[in-house]
Amino acid sequence: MKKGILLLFCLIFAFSMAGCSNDKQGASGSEKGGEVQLKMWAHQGQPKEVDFYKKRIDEFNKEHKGKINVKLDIIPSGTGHAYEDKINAAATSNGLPDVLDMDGPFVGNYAATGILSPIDDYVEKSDKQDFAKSIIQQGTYDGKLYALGAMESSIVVFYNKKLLKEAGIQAPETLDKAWTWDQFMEASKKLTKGDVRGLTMHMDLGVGEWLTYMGSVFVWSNDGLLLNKDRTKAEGYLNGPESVEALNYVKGLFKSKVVSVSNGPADFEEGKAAMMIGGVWLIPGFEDYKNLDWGMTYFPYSKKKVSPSGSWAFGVSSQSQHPKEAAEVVKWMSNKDSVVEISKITGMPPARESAFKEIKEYDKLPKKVIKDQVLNTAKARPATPAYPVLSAKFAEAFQAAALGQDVKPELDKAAKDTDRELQRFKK
Amino acid sequence: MEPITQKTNVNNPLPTVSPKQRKRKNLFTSYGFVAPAIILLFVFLILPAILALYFSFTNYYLLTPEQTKFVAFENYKRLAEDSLFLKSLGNTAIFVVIVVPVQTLVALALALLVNQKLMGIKFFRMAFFAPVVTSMVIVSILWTFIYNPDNGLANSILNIVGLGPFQFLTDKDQAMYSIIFMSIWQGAGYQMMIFLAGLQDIPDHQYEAASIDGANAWQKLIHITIPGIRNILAFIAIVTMIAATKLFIQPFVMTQGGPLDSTKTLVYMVYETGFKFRDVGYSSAIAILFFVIVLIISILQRRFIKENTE
Amino acid sequence: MKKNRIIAQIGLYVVLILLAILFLFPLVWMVVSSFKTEPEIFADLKSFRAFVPYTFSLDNYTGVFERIPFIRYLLTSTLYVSVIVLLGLFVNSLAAYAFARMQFKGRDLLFSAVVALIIIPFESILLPLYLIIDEFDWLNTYQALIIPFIANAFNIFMFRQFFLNLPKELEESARMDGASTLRIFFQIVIPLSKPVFITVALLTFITHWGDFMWPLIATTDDSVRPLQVGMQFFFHQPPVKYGHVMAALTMATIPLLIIFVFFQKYYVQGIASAGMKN
Repeated sequence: MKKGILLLFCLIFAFSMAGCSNDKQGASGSEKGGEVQLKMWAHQGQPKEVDFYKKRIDEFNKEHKGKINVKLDIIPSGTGHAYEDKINAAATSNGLPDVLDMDGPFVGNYAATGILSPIDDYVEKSDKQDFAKSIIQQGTYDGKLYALGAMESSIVVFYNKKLLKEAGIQAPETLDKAWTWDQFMEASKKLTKGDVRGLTMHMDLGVGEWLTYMGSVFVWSNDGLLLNKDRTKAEGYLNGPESVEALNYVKGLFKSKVVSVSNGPADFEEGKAAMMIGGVWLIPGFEDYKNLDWGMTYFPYSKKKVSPSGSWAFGVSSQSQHPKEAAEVVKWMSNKDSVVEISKITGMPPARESAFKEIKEYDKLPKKVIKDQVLNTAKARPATPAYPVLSAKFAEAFQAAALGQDVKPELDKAAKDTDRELQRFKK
Repeated sequence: MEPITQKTNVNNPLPTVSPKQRKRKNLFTSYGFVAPAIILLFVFLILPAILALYFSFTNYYLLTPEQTKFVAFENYKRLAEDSLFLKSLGNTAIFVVIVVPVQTLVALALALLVNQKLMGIKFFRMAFFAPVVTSMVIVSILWTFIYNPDNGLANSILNIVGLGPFQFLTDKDQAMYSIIFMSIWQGAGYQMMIFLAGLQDIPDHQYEAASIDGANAWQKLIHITIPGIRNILAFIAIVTMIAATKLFIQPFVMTQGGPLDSTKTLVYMVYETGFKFRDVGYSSAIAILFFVIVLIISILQRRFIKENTE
Repeated sequence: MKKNRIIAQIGLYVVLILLAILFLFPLVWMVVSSFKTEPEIFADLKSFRAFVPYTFSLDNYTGVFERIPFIRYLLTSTLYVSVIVLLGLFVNSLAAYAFARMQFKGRDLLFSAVVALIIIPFESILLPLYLIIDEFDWLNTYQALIIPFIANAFNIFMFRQFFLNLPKELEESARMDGASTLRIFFQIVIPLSKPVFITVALLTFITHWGDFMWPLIATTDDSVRPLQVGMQFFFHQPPVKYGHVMAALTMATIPLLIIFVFFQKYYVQGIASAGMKN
């Protein structure tokens, strides 16, 4: 009988261990009959975007038949960092794919922790120059290029044409006439009437990347920085006078009640807010609201015209046995054809200057606003290994400002935490 | 306990196996019986616990484990200076101190109400229990909508009574209390059921005797009901308290610890520091401290209950 | 006297009904809203119509199925929780039986150690456990969701308490007939211990059905993502549509409510006996 028991346990264990161990994703870069087999991860964005990735990889495989074959896995990204968690886990257990997709600001962290390989050797200079400056900026860490994206992104000020007309306000239509902070505040105040607020800033998205993505622009526009030029120090920058002043401006917006911390998810679309600081990815959703007649204008500025930038980008993992072939995939996914197509499909701005010429709707309003911003004022978030901490702490400080807290101590805290984290990566 | 294996039976000896062999075989069987559980507990509970303690003395970073260094008490020193940690500790304490007594009393009151022999009482039992069946994640999502200050049911309903509007989850002074209210709403039904079982175990004749003696409802409650369920009361208090110290899902889903860290809890910090910021060392220090707190609570409670029940 | 009683009864009903409303209104709102369009949901917020099912559109439900693999989440949850329950019943009861009935070296010490483990909160071993599971290459597999939770110190304790109170005579006479210990366990002890098996099974099921934190970090693929985590992802996945979320929540809740109505007796017994045992 004792043997029986033992056997039973062995069986249970063997079964449960062998049961589903097919999920191991890594073991990068094998070869099969002379064809290099690559693995690639992409995050699960909007359905159309995912379809595009799949289609584009199919085309790549056809074009490179017999040489390279890519297997694409779509990874859900959910609310926050589930996709990042997956990369973390894979990095420690040698399970990274050859090519991976990542959100722009994470490039620095992945480069610094050895998850990514530089791709400078595979990208030609002339090709590099066609990309929007902000795309190269976000993909570069320590002077080396690690990632290229097909899409850019931007945040603009959307407005409700009817409500602006009623208030007798004309939104700027060219970049040189963009609203200053004061003008923007003025307009928001005028538009706040009864149940309608002048502005919504999507505080409903919670304390996350959104607040840093949007909020850092206020700092930069006021001639401030999140980190020093070498990106080694936050003290004196993140909590410098320019940054404090910028968040105090934001605090003022909330204090004068033109914008609320408790806005609903669709206040602008429903006509409960006259203007919205929102991502261009929201545009397709406007179709659901037939009564909404909307326009777009530039991000308001203080001393410098700056606009947010950054989107998902592709890079080559350091665990890949075939970095050259993997870089081919990165280049393919960010070549002109890909860029034009994805931007037509998703409505996101293209990452290349040449692609803007192909898509006519960027020549006139409202989309001209996006093009002007991407090509002239876009600035990437700092590529730093401490980004996860920096981003979270800055977002908290931004929210604190919106809630009417004293700005300086909040930013002091953020700077202290960021500096502590930067310390970890000092060599 | 009487060892079974040494029992010999004169009428029915087992001729084929000598006592010594038999003993060995039994020993083998016993270890075979406990081995799977013990091995699993060791690998997935004891080992991680030891590792947590070890990591708490290192600077382990999730993405660069090979660069891990021993840092002695660095992480613990940092805890003492970390205002966020102290705040999380305070928030957790507020939650525990309010939820444990209030939820227990609400559950007891509900149990007394549904312990009546009335028509349709089963429906009411189910109604109070329904939120328990719905899981905490789902309830948290639902209440995030309800608590929306501009587009939520809560303010609409309170408006009828002439209260509000409240900011609920978007106000640093209201967020924790909003979570507390919802948590009690969700969990009270569970304890109600336990109380109910206890109440039904109290023999009817005790109440009848009291009635004959002219006792009123309040006197019956104090002198019969409460003593009758004293052990259950103690059990519920312990279980609720330990569960309450683990508060995580509600702030994670509803507020992400905000606004202004007003709903950050100890467990939330363990998660955030460890996974979002990848700081395994510091996160482990918080985890160890959390363990110590749970340990102290349990020891104190056990002692307290022993004194009161013996 | 009788009049007073009627008044008291009416009063009692009023209290009960008000409380029932308090406990049920969110769930009613959830179900009713899941059949409405987005503008209808928002428009009704300020009136009683929020609870009135005047339209019956399934658009939100089809929307959910287009956006997330809902059925997959549901099956994943059902599967992994059931496996934990079944394997757990076996492993824990076996160990408990040895602790209750057998003599072996170090038994009492071992048992005290097991009992002491009850106190370790899972939350405090989260990260090391994650790293161990990663070491086994189990992230994003069912093993990660199941195997760490099979053995449970508290359940061993519960089983042992029950076995200690069983009369020994039956087991002893079976032994005299030459039955092996394992056979005795399966053919005599288990049938006698149905109540404790049902209780432990239910408690384990309830606990792990609500699992959130562990699956949140141990799974990042839709293919092994349980319902709770799937719901929270969906809730934060833009565009956030109340109607879609309500439909998903309704679907996640209703099966459980139905199960509860059917198994109410066992369910309540389970919970209650967990309370009594201590």
